[in-house]
Amino acid sequence: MCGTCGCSAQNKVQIQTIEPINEINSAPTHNEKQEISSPSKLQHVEAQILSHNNHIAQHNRDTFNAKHIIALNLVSSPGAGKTTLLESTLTEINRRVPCTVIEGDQQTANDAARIAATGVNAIQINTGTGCHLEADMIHQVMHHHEIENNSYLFIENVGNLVCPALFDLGELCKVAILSVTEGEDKPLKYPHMFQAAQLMIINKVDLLPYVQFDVKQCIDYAKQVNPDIEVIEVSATSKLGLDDWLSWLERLQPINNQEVRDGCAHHHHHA
Amino acid sequence: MHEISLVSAMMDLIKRDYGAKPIKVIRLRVGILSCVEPSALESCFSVLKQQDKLFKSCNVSILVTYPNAHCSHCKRHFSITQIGQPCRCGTYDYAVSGGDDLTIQDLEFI
Repeated sequence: MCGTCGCSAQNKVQIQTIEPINEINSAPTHNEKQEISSPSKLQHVEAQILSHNNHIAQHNRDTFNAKHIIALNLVSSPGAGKTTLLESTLTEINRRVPCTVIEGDQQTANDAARIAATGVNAIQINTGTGCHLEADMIHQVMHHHEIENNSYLFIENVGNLVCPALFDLGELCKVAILSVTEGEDKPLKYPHMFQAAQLMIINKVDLLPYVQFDVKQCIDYAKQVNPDIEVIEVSATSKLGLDDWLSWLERLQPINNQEVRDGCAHHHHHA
Repeated sequence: MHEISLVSAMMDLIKRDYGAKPIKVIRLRVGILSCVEPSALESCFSVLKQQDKLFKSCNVSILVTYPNAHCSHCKRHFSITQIGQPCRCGTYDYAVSGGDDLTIQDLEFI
């Protein structure tokens, strides 16, 4: 699969475990005037900190495009209903189009077991203390699991509305899921995520009569941080609105790399 | 705590390409759209650097950058200091450029 990047197919799927911090020893220097030192001691670098992750993500994206795999990165807070939405989705579309699910959680294989019960291949990544998936984790999975051509790959990220916004996995786009049991101002509280997403799914709309959640206000807030964001209202349990989401999925096409990056991974407001 | 991943990635990159002599200052540009908290980045670095001779006496200096916006309605150019900030004309429909830096600008050696 990876003749181009030189990575070894023998690599095991490895999850980086990060030691907890016991000691904070901060020396705040940001926003201070940057001093200029003598040229011999100065090395111009101009390198992206995430260049390694972005390189692997692009490699994943090239592979997805070559195999006509539509890869979606599903992000939300814990408990917004990502797995339930996937269960309902897979039950509907798996008969027509092959699907694979990658589950990212800090611990347990519970979500992968729920997906597997729908008859779909599920791969569990446990990140340990890590709070997000990184491109290399997806890359490692692809070395061990043949993902079918012309299929959907749903990557369910770790439940977290902060960190996953920053890490490109090579997906076609990010889908942010927000449930009506959360506050309608989540898009304003976690703007990076809603800015990075192409679609916002408002889930659990069957509970609207019982909760204080202003759908219109929520959509307005989301459009404040991302005027182009699309919105679909569903209830993954009652199947209300599920057809809108399924039609949205059917409209997706694996597209040209550059378009993907411009349109999704680094979202920009419309001119 | 994605800042730990970022600091590790930063240290790996510097070690790989400029790992010959000890470093005094790493100068970074961090845009407000980058989803990174400068003080968290500094805290993580001050912990992780202890494990490495190359970085032991090194500090990071962070220049925070802001995106430029061009409003589609009133055509005004302005600087954004916070995501989701409206244009003075009240709309949110503007084109944004820059402010997403997460860049190692330069290194100063000891």
